[in-house]
Amino acid sequence: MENSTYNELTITLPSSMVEFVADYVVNIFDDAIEMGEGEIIVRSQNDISYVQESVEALMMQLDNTMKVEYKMQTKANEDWIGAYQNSIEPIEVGSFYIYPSWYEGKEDKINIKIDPALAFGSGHHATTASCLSFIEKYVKPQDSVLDVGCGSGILALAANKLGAIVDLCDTDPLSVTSAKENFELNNGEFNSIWEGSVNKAQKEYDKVIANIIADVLKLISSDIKKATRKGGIILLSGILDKKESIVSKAFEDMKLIDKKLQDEWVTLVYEKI
Amino acid sequence: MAKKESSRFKLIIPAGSANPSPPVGPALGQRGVNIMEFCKAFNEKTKESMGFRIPVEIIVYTDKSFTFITKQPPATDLIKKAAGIKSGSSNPITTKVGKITKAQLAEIVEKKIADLNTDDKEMAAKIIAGGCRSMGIDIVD
Repeated sequence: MENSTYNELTITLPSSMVEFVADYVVNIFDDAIEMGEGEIIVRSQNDISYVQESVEALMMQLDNTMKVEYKMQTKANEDWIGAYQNSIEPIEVGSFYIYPSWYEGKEDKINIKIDPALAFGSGHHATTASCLSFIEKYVKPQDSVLDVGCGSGILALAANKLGAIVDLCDTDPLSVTSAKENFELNNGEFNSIWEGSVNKAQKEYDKVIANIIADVLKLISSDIKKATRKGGIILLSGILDKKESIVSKAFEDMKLIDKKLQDEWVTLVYEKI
Repeated sequence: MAKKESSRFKLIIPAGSANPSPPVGPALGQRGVNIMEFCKAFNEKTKESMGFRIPVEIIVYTDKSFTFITKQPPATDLIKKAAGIKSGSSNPITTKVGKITKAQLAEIVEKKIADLNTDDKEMAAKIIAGGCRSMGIDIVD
């Protein structure tokens, strides 16, 4: 069980000093800190009064005429993920409209209702958004599609909305549960779903989608290729631009037919030759 | 269509270790950022710098989507790495805990100058040297 409160120390100081003092604070405090315009915020579930004492001592050494204020508060430790989930807003990607269940769908859009859970994929990150736009471009009705590392199931759901027959898998049991719930929420239909990776695939698919990360894509590259029929399409995402070469090397025996870069994240589309 | 920015803020987070509890949770949660997506993306992007703290600027848009820009580790982390020590001196005036060479200092200046509020290398070197002194680290030839 998480602690029910946390301590928050706000240090208000001249803007020109923020960088310098923040540098000092990270030297004595092992966790993350926040820097704002003329303020530094230190938060922890542990006692942080020593941070204030140390900064006071530092300021005394530097220039004791500088105006620095300290505010120590104890705050309620909310369920931050839950708070995020409640604050989520709908998002549009191409023809898709992704919205939480407390919003209404749109008539002229392909609606996907997602109640964001812990599983990755609410459409709010570049990798998911890029995948969605390629799914709209490449997935055709009656295509057989496998979503590898399905997370919330949003990508398979999008493919299913376009008329594809979809299978899903994820090594995280939480994702499998979340994806099943999201299919139910959307009256979507999947052919099969399993806990595990693409190596458990029983057939060759027209389209294989994997929005994971570069190192994992490399690791499972031969299984992804094996699960794709000749002439089929492989859609890979979750790739940081500086790691693109890891993936392109692992898939160099495939034909690159499309590519999208969004906020440093690359999505690659290959055809199996 | 350009997206409208709703907030922009900076955090310094240990590389590869962002997680939803405090301190990261409250900072992101109260601004409506998808904490899990941020943590996974940040950790993927920084895992090769484990051991350093990474300053990151997060831009949140009105539709709650976000981007982030990671910067070089704080000067103190780079100094500690160069001096081969884990933490600075508790009393930097009387207790010296290590030393770095002028060449190492110049290297740190090169890395950090983009993040400091100056284009002046001499000025940047003074700031970093000040950081060394506050940690009980001498600068030698």
